[in-house]
Amino acid sequence: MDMSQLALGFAAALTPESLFYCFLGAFLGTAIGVLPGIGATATIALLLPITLSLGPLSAIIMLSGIYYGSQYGGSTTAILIRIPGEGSSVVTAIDGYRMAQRGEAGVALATAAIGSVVAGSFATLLIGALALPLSAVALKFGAPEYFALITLGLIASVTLAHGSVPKSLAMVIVGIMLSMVGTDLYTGTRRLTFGERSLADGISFVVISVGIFGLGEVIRTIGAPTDRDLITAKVQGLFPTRAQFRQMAAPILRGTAIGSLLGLLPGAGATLSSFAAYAAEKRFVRGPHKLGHGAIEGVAAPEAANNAAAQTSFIPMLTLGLPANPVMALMIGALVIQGIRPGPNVISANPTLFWGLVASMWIGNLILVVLNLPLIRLWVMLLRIPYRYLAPAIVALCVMGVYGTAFSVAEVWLITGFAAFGYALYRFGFEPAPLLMGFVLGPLLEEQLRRALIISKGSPLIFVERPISAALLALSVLVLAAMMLPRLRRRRATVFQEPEAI
Amino acid sequence: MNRRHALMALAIASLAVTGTAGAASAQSWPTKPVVMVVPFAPGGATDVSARLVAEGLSKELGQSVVVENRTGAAGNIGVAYAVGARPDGYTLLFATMGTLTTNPHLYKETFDVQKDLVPISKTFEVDHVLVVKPSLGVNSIQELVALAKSKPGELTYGSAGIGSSVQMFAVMLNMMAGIDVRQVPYKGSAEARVAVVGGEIDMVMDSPPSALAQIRSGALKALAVTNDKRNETLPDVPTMAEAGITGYAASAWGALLAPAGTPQPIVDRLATATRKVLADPAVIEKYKKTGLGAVSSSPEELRALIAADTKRWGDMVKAAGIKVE
Repeated sequence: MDMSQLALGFAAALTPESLFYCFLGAFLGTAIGVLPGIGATATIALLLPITLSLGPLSAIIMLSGIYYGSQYGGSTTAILIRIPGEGSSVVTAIDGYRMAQRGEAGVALATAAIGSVVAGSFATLLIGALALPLSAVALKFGAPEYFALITLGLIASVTLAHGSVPKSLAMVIVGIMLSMVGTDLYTGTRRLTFGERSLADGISFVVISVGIFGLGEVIRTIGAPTDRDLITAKVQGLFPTRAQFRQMAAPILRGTAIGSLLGLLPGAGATLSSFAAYAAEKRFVRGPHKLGHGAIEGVAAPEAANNAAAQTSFIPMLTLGLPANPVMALMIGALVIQGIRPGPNVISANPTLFWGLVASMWIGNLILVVLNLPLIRLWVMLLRIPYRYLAPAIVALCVMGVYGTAFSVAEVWLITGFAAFGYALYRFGFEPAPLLMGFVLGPLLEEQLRRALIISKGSPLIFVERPISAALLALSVLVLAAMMLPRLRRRRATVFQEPEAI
Repeated sequence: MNRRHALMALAIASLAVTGTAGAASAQSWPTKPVVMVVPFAPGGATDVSARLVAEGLSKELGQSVVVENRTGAAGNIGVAYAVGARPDGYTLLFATMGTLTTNPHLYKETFDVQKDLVPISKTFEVDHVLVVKPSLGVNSIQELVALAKSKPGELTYGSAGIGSSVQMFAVMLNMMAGIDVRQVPYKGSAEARVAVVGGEIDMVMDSPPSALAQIRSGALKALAVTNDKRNETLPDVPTMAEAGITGYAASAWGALLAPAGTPQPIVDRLATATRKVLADPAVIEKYKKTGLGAVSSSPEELRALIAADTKRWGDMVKAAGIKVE
């Protein structure tokens, strides 16, 4: 359909004003995304009043620039110091960090950037061609369908984990249990908060991620008997070689396809997509370098997927007013202030805005690459700082970052506890990635399960009476059954396996 | 990176200033930035309206008024923070009907809204509209009530969480019409609305501007607005009272308050300034875009409103048996 509309969008997005705000957003986003703590939500909140004085297109271009800039920045920290900025970059931390340790941080960062921009281009075309019909997908997904999809995701994460199945399963369940802390959506009851008001909204993802991944990693590195410097091997080329480009091409395309699809489902999309892309990659990657041990595919696919999902998630946001995450909720707020109400008519009522935004996403991704490729050298240099200086800096930034998000001392204690927990997990051979997946998806799983049962007045038949939900659950059962078969178990992939200490 | 440091330093510095400076005298007030605590996330209707009021007050007072979002626990975290702040006029609270008048019936908290806060002015009002899915086959409240009575406990409404106006207004309809429509909670009214469009649930009380596009396209059917006068966004939709639910009149609202003990001259000056801000045509226009009505009040009117609604929702919570453990 409307490629002429897309041209209209590009015309709007390529004005000097739009380009400036796009650049500003991408720049700010990268800057705040690189360090844990203050995330896109806080930044957008701070900038919201400023956007009041901008035009609607400039405002939303800048805000979305911050959004995907911070996502890219979050991947940077995941690769460099193993602190995923948000759920969607947890997966990137597995192979990306391993690559960085091998001296290939530059290649990993470039792969992430290239994967993002390629995925962004495809997702942009997809939105251009099919935005309206695609918005119907979200309407097809009611509570039972979401529940079935998330069940499948969680079961797949267990099946694909490398270490012992019971241990990965235990981690998923611990993650779900941690996610239960806080106010129950259905009754308002505060669960497992021990009377602590700051726990009323649960434990934040940043706390878990910074504690278990970031600080846990610092303890583990200090505890390692050998060389502590982050880069143990000679720093290799900063830019991917021709062979590496060939290696990442197919994973990027697969990641894009998976991400574009899952991004249409508000809530679960972005996180599920990077996990799903990584799991899918497991089916394809052959050869001596294995996924989980610093494979370039393990960075390319999930990064492409989460970027594609981030873009297609604008479809339910703009056409249904459904925010996929707090950042999207803020953007709806920014639009509403401008007098534009997301809804089915937004495309026809505000074509310049809609298509301008779509075009600017693509331009923004290009800007991100241009902005970040020169920075890669800087990041890699950062890693060469002796660990005895770097470690206290990482700890200080983690603590300040977490305190800065909510001004809560309780959260600082929490990350301290999770750091110890993360180290214990490592010592006893538990993999933290399934825990994070359980933590991120747990609340959705519970919410949708209970909602479905409220609607059906307690009858579990609702899950099998609806075709999409029934199919997804059947698939879950198949995956589970496959896990029991020894032949398949031997081939079971190494998705979440963390590398041993250096 | 520098940007982030600057942001954080700024935030910490502003906190330090608020925390340590002694009580300024009411005459010279304000000599430094005033913090307006908003207990909800940025971007929502409450936040948007708070920012517009803060912007206006900054001009009126000649000092910047900074919005600070302290979210969580259904707004109780922000309220508790404001209650605990020094009553020197440098910390204000921008709260809502829910946080001030329904939460006290639902949660055990350490503060008492009516004792620990002083009212300054009402700041916005927002009507809701009852929308149903077209496949329900009802065209009026009367038909809906008849259908609900014919199958008690079968129909469902979406709520935006326990104690939300979206829930309370539906509970009120249940009580006044003598019907039993079951609650299905969602994370926000947008999710609930989409569930009605998708046919998962039967109805929701939504804000008129949010639902407008889908009402026009026929994806939703509007039955009645909750206030006692018609809504200008939906002039053809009758009020609940007109549609036959006699005595039904409710609108959600927001208000500006300060910690108890804030000097009276400061409260009075804020009330006057707020009234002026909310009479500004530019502000009214921006409010309208957000779907809010610009309304102000005297501190006494607000005090009476809080008392009246606290009683009304308390009765409703009790009668409907809503309980939070």
